[in-house]
Amino acid sequence: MSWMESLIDFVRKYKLLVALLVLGPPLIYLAVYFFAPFIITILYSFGFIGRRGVITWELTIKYYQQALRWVYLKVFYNSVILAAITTVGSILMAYPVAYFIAVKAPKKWKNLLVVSVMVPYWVDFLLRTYALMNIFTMMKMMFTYEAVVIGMIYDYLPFMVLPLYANLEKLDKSLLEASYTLGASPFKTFLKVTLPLSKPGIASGTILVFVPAIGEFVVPSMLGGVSVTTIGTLTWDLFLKFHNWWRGAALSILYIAVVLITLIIYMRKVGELEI
Amino acid sequence: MEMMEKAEYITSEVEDMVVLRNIVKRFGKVVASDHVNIEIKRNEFFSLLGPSGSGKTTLLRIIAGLEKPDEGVVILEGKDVTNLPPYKRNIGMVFQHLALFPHMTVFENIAYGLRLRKFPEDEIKKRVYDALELVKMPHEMFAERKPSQLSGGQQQRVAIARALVTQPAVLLLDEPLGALDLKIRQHMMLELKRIQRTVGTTFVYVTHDQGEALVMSDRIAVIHEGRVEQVGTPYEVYEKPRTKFVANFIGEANFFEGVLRNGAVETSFGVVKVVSDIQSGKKVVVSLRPERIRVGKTAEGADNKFEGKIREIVYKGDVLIVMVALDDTEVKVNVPATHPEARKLREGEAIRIGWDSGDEAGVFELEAE
Repeated sequence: MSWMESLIDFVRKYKLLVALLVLGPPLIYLAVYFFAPFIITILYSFGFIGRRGVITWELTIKYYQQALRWVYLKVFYNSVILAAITTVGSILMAYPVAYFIAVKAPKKWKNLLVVSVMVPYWVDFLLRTYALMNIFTMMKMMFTYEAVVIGMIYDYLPFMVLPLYANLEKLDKSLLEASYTLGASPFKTFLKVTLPLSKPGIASGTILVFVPAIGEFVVPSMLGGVSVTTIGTLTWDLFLKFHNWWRGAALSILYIAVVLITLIIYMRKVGELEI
Repeated sequence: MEMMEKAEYITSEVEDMVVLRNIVKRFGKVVASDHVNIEIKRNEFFSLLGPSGSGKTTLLRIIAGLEKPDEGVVILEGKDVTNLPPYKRNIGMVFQHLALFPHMTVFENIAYGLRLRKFPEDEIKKRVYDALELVKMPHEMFAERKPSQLSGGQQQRVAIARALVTQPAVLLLDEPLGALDLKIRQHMMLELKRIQRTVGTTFVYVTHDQGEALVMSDRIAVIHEGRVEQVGTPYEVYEKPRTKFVANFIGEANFFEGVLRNGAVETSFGVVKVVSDIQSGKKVVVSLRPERIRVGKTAEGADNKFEGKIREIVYKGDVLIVMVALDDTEVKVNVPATHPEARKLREGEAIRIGWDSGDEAGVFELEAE
């Protein structure tokens, strides 16, 4: 019996043990570095942890009451609107690009074109945002809402291009030809065949862009300064400027809850669309 | 001058539903259509038959307007449509992989062309139901289903209904039966023929399957390397092939090469009497269908008689395929299972075979190389 066979034999005999050996490290990693911080955040939001990390053995919802104040709700609303504008903007920008690469471009160019969409994003996110600041300064657009919107769309564009491209790539060209032979012009064909069939691509792109865009704080704070406040910049300020970790934690948890609920509703809707 | 010629086509060929004039289409260096001329008549079931890569699908796509010919003219119902896009041509098409819209119900798939033509809703409903009835799919059961909830044969029927519901001048079918399994394919062949008889629409059918073409077609164009080898009825292309390619591609054939002298061909195994008006002294090839060759007692009295040795017998139920060696030439003979001597044939034994000089499928001049 070779060592390979004895290994296979061992795996067969001690299935549970092997599963634990394989799954153990990632589970421990997740527990320590992913779930623990999350639980600590929850504990802070209920006031269970006090100043300097001392456990208070108390539970209170007053930080949530604070976080639900009208000013904060308005920031919430602003963030969702900004994320929605970012999402719609990136769909409008990404669709033609993805469509061209997936449907029109010659096969041998496709990979190169997809990579060329990605290349700017190999430069660090912060560096690119600093570069944008230069452009906006030249255009005298710094610290405006428009600058934030342009910067957000720029940063999230590939997350819309890639799922759309993956979807349109699968589009069966003979469906388009069938539509032509039935009397539909290319424009009508796009509206009645291509667009409805690319809904799953738009849906996954929307999730990839909309959710992180709500919580985005780097772009609004760097390009918008004090003129644009989002849930992200607000949380940042609460933690690092005002050192009010409890209210910041409550706000973060509320944010997660809102995103989760929105996402569930959205997924249900998308599920109905699925073919 | 060219304009006048065009005008002349248009007035003189209104009886022809589809006319291809001198169609040339190149893909890079490959010539997919090489000066093709075809006339397809009203109400005809016309097949474009050829092996894969012969350019038959290109011709269909040129008729549809999905490809633009490099040279030549496409005439539909007497009108020059060469420069019209597919959506301005009065055609219907059934695609190889059917191309039903997966996000629409059966009803919406069939209604698609009618909605584009802005029919009123009650007229759309009536026509869709009629179309479903034509392809024998009760609308109560199928109208609201998605294509993914249908079997292959049912999808086929929907694709045909969708293409016919707008009452096109011509229905183009691109190997639509290729994906179906044998039993359903045989059934759909007869169904297609029935549907064509019912609606009377001109059908142009692309296939590589000579069986399909022979069963369904009024006429067949045999396509080879972008050229039309022969156009004729199934009987003509089978019994009177004009080229060696046609003889070989449609049905099966034995080929004997030799020199033609005084109504006989000198082959490697003997002199074969033939009927041909080819000039004496030319190198020719004789094609002979396996079912034309008689064996044993029935071979007596034939013009051409040879003694051979049975190399192999393959039993196929209704026929025995007998490979007979005449010197170094192997001849394929189909012996009906009902032949009185069929059961006595043994591999390795001698056999007498024979055929009449009028029986050969053709005598073709060998091209000088």
